[in-house]
Amino acid sequence: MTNQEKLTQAFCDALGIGPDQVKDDLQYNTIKEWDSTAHMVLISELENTFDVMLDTDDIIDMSSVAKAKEILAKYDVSF
Amino acid sequence: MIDWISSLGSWAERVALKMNSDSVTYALLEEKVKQCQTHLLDLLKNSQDARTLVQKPRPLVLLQMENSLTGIVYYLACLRARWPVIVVSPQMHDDGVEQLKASFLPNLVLTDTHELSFHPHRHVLDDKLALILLTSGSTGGGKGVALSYTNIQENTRSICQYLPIQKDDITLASMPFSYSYGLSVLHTHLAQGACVAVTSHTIVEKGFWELVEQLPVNSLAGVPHWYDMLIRLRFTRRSLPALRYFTQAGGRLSEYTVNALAEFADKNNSQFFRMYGQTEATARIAWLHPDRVRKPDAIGQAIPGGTLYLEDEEQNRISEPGKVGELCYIGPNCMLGYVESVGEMASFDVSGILRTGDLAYFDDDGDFRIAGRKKRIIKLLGERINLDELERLFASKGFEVKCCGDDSHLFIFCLQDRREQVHALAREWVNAPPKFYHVNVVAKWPLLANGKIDYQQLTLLANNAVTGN
Repeated sequence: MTNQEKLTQAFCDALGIGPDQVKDDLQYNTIKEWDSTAHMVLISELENTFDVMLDTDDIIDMSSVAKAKEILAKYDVSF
Repeated sequence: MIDWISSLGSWAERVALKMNSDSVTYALLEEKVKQCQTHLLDLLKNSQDARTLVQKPRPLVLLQMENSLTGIVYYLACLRARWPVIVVSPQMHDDGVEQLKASFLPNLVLTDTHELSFHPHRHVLDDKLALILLTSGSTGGGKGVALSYTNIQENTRSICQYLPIQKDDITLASMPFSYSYGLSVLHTHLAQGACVAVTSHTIVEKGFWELVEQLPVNSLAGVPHWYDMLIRLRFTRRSLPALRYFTQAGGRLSEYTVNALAEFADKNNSQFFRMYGQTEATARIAWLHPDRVRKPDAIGQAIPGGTLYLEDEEQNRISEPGKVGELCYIGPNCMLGYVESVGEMASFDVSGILRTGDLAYFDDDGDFRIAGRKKRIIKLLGERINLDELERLFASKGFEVKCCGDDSHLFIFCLQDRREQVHALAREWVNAPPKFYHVNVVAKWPLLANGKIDYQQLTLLANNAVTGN
């Protein structure tokens, strides 16, 4: 699986949405599935998938799919 | 009438509400509430045959209450006009809202974006009836809890006696007002002339933390799951000098979280209040003194004006420490009763006793401590789910479903050919990410010798499915 595929899978598993919904411009709190609880599930999912430990600032900065990629890039995960 | 609602304006230029960059003074809030009342009255008068509604009998209102100025003004206008109001979560799914409309036939339905006046029914509603909250949050299928003006007044007064709410305080409403705990935060602050800040930001957004520091916030309130998230976000490493106290209610806090929060409270010079309550008691029933906050599973003592006691299975009072019985409460905040339709609201026969369904004992200090639950109820992410009621909700759609679980997972069982439909309904109804609930199938129902469902067996199956055995 490519990192993009892994990312999509992590979003689908954590939020319970379809892969077609995981677009770069998908933003936190704009769909009912991505609320604060789901966000924390998503963080765990991303940490496990990419074997990283995210800082608090990064957790609260991750407001969209695009932003998730940008943040993960800081942890040497490239897309 | 509730005294602090009729005297909102007496706090004059003090700030009652803050939303984003706007501040609403008490004088302005009172003005808005009065205007809203007039406006809703016009709306009712203009609907057919409804001219007499506003006299006696009173209209019944269904409010999908947002944490917004509009939502708060609607709510206060109903209380001020003595119009009984059913307050529900704006997140409630359409099925749930339709079911409520059919059972309660409200004369007005209000949301932040719609005002609908219909059903010119002349309901007969008990004079005491002020507010109806639901036992089941946004899941639906639960019962209505009917509360009186006295219930609200007394519970508010009582909470203000043990929590150090000061008139200069600013709190941040992080829970929905459609939830009794969230609503009690609004009530108590308005009663003390203090300020409630409302935000659309959640704790995983920068905007939330900026508000906490900039307002600055003097108190916070939340359910166990919310505090678990705070700890995960390393909230306990922050320094929040303005935060004088914080409160927790709405379920069992793990020992780890209790200790982490107690340590933070010490370091930050804040008081940490663990509390216990139920919607059936308007909001609060008991509180634990901050000096004993580390005691596991403790809920402390009854709130001022209330009495807690334990009953054994023969309904005798328990008088020795350590012996487990059902936790019962007597107080002026005990509900009028449960309601499932408007016909049940004409008059109430109030017992004044609340059997909580929780099992507890008291220790040598006289503090009450929770030992378990009598009813099949779980608290999923702070939201109460009555498993039997959820089963009935599925049954009402024609699905035979059995539910079990704990406070971390909900398990829904159905027969093989129904899995997809049941899963779709669960997605719609259960307000939690997919990790927290599972739809499992069985070829046939495991039964006990007496022919009843073997829930222990189902729980075992469910746990095996999760761990992959």
